[in-house]
Amino acid sequence: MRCGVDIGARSVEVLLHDGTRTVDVIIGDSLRDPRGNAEAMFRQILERNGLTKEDLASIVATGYGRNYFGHATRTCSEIICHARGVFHLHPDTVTIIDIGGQDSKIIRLENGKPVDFSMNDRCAAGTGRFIEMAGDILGIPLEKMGEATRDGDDTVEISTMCAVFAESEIIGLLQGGIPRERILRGVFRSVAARTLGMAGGAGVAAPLVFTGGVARNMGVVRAVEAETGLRVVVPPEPRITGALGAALID
Amino acid sequence: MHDPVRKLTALEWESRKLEIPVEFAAQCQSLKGLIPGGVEYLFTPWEYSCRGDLLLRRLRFDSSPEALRLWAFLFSEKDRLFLAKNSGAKVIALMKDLGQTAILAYAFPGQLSFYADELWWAPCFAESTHLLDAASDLGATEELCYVRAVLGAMKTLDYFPRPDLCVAGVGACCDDFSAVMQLVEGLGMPVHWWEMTAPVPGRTGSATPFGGVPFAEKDLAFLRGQLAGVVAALEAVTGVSCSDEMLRGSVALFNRLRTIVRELRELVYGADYPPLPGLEMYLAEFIAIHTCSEPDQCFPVLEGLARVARERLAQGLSPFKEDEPPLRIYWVYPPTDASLIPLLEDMGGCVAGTDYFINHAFLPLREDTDPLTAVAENCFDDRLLCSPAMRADAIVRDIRHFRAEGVLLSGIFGASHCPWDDRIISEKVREELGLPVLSFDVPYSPGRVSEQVRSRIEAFMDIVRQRRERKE
Repeated sequence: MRCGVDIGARSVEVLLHDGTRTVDVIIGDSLRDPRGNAEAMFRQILERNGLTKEDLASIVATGYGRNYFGHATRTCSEIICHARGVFHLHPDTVTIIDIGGQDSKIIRLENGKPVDFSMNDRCAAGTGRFIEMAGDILGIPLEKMGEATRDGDDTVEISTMCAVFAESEIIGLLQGGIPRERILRGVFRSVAARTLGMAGGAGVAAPLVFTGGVARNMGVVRAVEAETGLRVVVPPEPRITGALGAALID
Repeated sequence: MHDPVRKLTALEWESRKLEIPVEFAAQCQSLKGLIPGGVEYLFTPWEYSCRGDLLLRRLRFDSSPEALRLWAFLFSEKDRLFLAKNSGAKVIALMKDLGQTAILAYAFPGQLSFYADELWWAPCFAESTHLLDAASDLGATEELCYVRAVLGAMKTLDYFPRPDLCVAGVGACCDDFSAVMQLVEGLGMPVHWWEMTAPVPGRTGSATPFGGVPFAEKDLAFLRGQLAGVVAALEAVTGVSCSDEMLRGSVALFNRLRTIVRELRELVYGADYPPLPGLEMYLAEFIAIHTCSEPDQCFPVLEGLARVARERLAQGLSPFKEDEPPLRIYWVYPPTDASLIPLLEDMGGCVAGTDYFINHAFLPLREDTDPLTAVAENCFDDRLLCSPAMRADAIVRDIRHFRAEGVLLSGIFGASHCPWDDRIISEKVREELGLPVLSFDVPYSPGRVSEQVRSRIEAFMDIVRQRRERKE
């Protein structure tokens, strides 16, 4: 049995893999105490599967908090782990778009191996936090966003890339009488454009797999498809590809 | 000293220093022309850290005495400037140009010129924001890049004495710096302004002799006139009339200096197992510009390093000696955090070529023309003045030359030129060389690399490593 632990800025995923299938997975918050939460989730997954730490052939930690996870037998960067996890699920993948709570990245694969990547660097624009902020202002909870924007394709331009300034822009649009669903589609398009812009001249190529918590939002998935003109593949649980890859790392 | 070649902590250098031959320490004398017998500067990183540069306690240093001398030479510059001022010498602050006005200034005897720009590193080594805070108090807030530390230093005068003259380049260069220098003048500092022009292709097809940068003759004439103005300002402050021969002597001196730095780059960046660490090379490359306020002393310092590099290569020695040669990374932009290069090396990499904006300072200066023309041509080679596309072309050539396997662009937070160059360089490298590129901003957290940055570099190194494994 192998264990992958992905400690991100917003969430922690702990996953058990027996070499052929995922046996169990726990997804939780990392906020405030990522180390403590990861530790508790690790103990929980062992306990409910009747395992001890010694039963594990490997414990690989990834994500920003990987260096603080004391049980890890090794650590590995999230780029490598995401690539490994996605390759396991979709072996023909050429491009991975991963949008998490605090960052977004584009990973380019050749024969399953990552050969280049880009990450957002300067601010929260183009991340889950940006969408969360917009949802708070618009009064649309994250889990309702996909459904709320499903019908119709009219949108509005969100010109501000800064998450902080975008807040006042959205408020201005609301005050101008623009329907909130239309504004939200504008937010999704902005996130998609911002993320895809990181790919630069190389662009993105199919097959394109979308992972991370934001990939659960069908509104953003549709925006990515519209921006790229490509069909987007979303794994059944897009949040766990990092932890899955960590569990599969040799 | 027969220890294996390795990196030492500041504390390890404390005990190691006792093994340095007395004759070697005796050669490390500054200001021989100003103070009888000169002043010894060979102190250890720990000793310099006790004066406030705390980051030195967390870095590791090459184990050769010559590298210790390099560090000491850099960190003793502050002493030199105060001692020189107290001895009656003029102290001149050069600002913004990258190495050209130093050539003019060092034609003059009885003065010490220094690049106040260097102070952008001070907050990192001091692990303190005091200079930036002082700059903020004067109106240079965080929307300006770290060059605003210069303003703080001009206010506190902790790092250098009050300059007798500030020589400030403006025009086709960093606008943040222009703003800072205006505030410096507002402090009552005497400033001589001169304008730098960007090279634009002219009708005659003229190009710089060593950098190949096309320029218009009228721009050369303008720039030459601006440099003549700098010389006149230096004459006024020193009271010395500058002859053509004095300028020629300085051009020849800087040519010698540049020759050594070029050789060092070839020796170190060209080797599979570099004979010196990247941080020592970072310091050595910048000496080609600022000379640590003492060009004469640069020669033994840099020649010593080159000798160490040659000997190590001949003996197969390197601080990177592992089973596998380190991953070869080309570095673009000077990292504002000195702990980034060691971090790269700890992750199995080495610096294999650089573009810290200063590569024009490694090019020769013509000695077969009048000195002001030679310096003006070198200004056109300045990569801050050239178009980003020309810079990208030069970087691609350099990457090929040094066989780099990946490219890191460590953006300077708040520096306005980086977002433009960054994208153009990244795309050019990817398109022409197919190499992985990592571009990131270095957040300001002096000496403490953020987890985000660490994570990115680690992921980047994994990709470079996998790429090498696939090729093998």
